[in-house]
Amino acid sequence: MFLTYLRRELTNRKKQTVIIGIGMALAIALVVIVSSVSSGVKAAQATALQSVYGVGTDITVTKTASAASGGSKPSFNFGSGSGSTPGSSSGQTKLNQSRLSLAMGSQTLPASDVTEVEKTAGVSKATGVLQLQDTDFSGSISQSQSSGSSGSGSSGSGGSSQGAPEGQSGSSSSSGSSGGFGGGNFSFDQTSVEGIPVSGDIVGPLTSTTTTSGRAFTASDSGKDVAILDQSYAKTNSKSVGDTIKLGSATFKIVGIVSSTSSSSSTASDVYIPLDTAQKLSGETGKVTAIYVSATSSSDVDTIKSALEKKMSGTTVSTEADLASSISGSLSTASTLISNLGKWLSIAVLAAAFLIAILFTISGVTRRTREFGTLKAIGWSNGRITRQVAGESVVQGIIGGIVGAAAGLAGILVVNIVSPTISGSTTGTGTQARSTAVSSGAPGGGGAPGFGGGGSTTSTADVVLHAPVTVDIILLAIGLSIAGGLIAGALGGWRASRLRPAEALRSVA
Amino acid sequence: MTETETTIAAEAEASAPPSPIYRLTDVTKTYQQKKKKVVALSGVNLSIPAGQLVAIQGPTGGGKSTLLQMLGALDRPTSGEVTLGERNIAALGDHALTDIRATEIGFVFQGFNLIPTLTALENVESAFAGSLAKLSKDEIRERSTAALTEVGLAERLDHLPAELSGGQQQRVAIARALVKNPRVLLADEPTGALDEATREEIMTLIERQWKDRGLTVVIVTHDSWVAKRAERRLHLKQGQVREI
Ligand SMILES: Nc1ncnc2c1ncn2[C@@H]1O[C@H](COP(=O)(O)OP(=O)(O)OP(=O)(O)O)[C@@H](O)[C@H]1O
Ligand SMILES: [Mg+2]
Repeated sequence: MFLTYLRRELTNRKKQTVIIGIGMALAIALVVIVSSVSSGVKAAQATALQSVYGVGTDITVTKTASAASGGSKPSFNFGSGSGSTPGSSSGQTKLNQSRLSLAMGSQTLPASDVTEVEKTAGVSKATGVLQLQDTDFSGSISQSQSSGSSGSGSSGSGGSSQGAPEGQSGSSSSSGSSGGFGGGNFSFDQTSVEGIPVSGDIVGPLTSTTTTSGRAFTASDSGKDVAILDQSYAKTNSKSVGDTIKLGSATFKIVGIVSSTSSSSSTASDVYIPLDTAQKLSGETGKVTAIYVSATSSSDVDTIKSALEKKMSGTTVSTEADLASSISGSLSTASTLISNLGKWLSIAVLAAAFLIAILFTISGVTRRTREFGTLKAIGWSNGRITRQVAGESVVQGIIGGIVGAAAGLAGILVVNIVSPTISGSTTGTGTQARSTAVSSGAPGGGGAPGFGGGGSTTSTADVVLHAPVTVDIILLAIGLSIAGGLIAGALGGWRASRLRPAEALRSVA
Repeated sequence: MTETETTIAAEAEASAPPSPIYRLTDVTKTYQQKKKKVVALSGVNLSIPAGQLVAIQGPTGGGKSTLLQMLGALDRPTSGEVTLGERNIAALGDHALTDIRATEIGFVFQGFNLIPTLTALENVESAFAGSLAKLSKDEIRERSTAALTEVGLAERLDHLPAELSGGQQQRVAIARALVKNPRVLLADEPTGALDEATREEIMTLIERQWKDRGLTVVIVTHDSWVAKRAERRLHLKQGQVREI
């Protein structure tokens, strides 16, 4: 009788079933999509973090930036050093400068700090790395005497330049841009280079990468001019294992190519070289720019952080959570959007759906006053009537839940087909200095101004959003729809049970 | 039951003092309507012997439906006693009243009150409530089919109420009321929504069931033609009963 009556009510009162079902379906679909996408965004965030900081890194220690200094100041001495002046008749100076220096905004810590960190209770492993930047400047400058007026006339496509010979400024990106000033032109390239320990690298930038060709560093690479390239960098520059690459004054043999384990993002730096080689070439012997720390237990992270902060003054200690909060860009936007808007939208729509279900169930019970009164008059107990009403609501809820879950899954499928790429960047003033994408600065003429842009650096990782479908999400959807049905049914049933059996005798409406 | 058996039963009953199935003592029912107190029944004393066919007449608002609610264990009196068999309905809890309605009382309403989404057969099956709900599915189906056959609707088992005429719907309602073999059949204006020909049909059906089953029947009616077919007629006015 229960099932017969239930089936008959649902099929013969389709309108109510459809309305409650649609309301529930909409809400459930939204919840499914939002929770899937938000877990996708979380995963993307983790991936972005991993590709920038390395898997298993719980804490990073860097030198706290002081506003005044932006690391060492690279300078190019045009004309006096390696630049050649092939004859005064041509009036041109060809320039070719390559420098390997500290990454912008980076400041160094003594390598002994690594040992210091490692000795801290709860730390399982600490690795020091030296983040460098190879800046390559080449071009020719016209030696025209009319310097004051000629420069103002032309400007390059990639940046602006002024004709004043002692103070040109221009902006450039790592892809290289050239601008003309005077009668000359120049090109400017930046490559991020990271010196890493050649062995025992269980924490750090390369832990979330796979070697796609060649090999990883071994202990025997120590002090050698060997390099491992990021795959996308290698592709852009048409380099492969066995080729050489010029960094600063040295020529490196490429022994391996690595790619990030997250399919789309690039690794933290363009080029990796042995730490001691990096220290030697940059003149930063015995120095590191960041220490990657992994904790024995993740629950210790906060304790370690405060211990390190106390122990090592003048450093910035960041946990993964700190880093996650520093992630900006579309990933951060997506994350904020999903976690705020998505969450509240889900809650609002879910509440609306529950309300619709409750109101329709109660108004349905009111409409069926005589019906329930009659059933009571012929001996149905309150419990049986409540169960009947609740049963109807729960089934309506479940129908909505199933339809909604299906719609939600379809939505997730669309998200995954579209696979939006979201990029996450971390911006910091000198704290997390890894410039893999864009940096701005002005090459100073005559060696004086250095990098005017100062210590603001950005690390970017592009991650393809993948919204996962988990059993949890499906269970959540079904659970919510049953809950909605139960709440509506309980209220409707309670309402029905309060009807007086004498209502059955009310004259026909 | 054959006719001779019925006669024998009737004679046996006539020889013994008729045991009342209902005994109402000083029954008063008041309703609180906003701030006004409405007296629906005021000091009703009434005894109904088992097997009697009683008609209750009276002006609108006289308390007829209220009295039927007391007899049908739908509600308790404000004061006084309503005894059905040996049990005082006024003193019983909700569960006990529900159980009495499920097993001892059959109800027929002016508006038929069938469940609109259930077929004729399913409507009759819905009468198996309380302890009767524990019967097997097959038995419930068998008894329901038999009850519908008895009221002449063997061909209409799968029809929805909306697909039946008023008279047919009331027959389904009567089958639903009687399928549980109750001791009492209570009807509130059972012919009120029917035309004259159908009214006669329904009364004939009720009379036959009354005779065949030895039921106690109480019919509330505005219709004198219906009332005249009863053994006993009561007039209810301003909450007070008077024999006609
Ligand atoms: N639930 C209720 N709340 C308040 N007053 C009620 C209620 N039910 C009945 N009454 C009042 O009690 C009195 C008797 O009502 P009842 O329904 O018994 O009359 P009736 O004789 O059946 O009338 P009718 O012939 O119109 O059906 C009326 O004055 C009515 O307004
Ligand atoms: Mg009435």
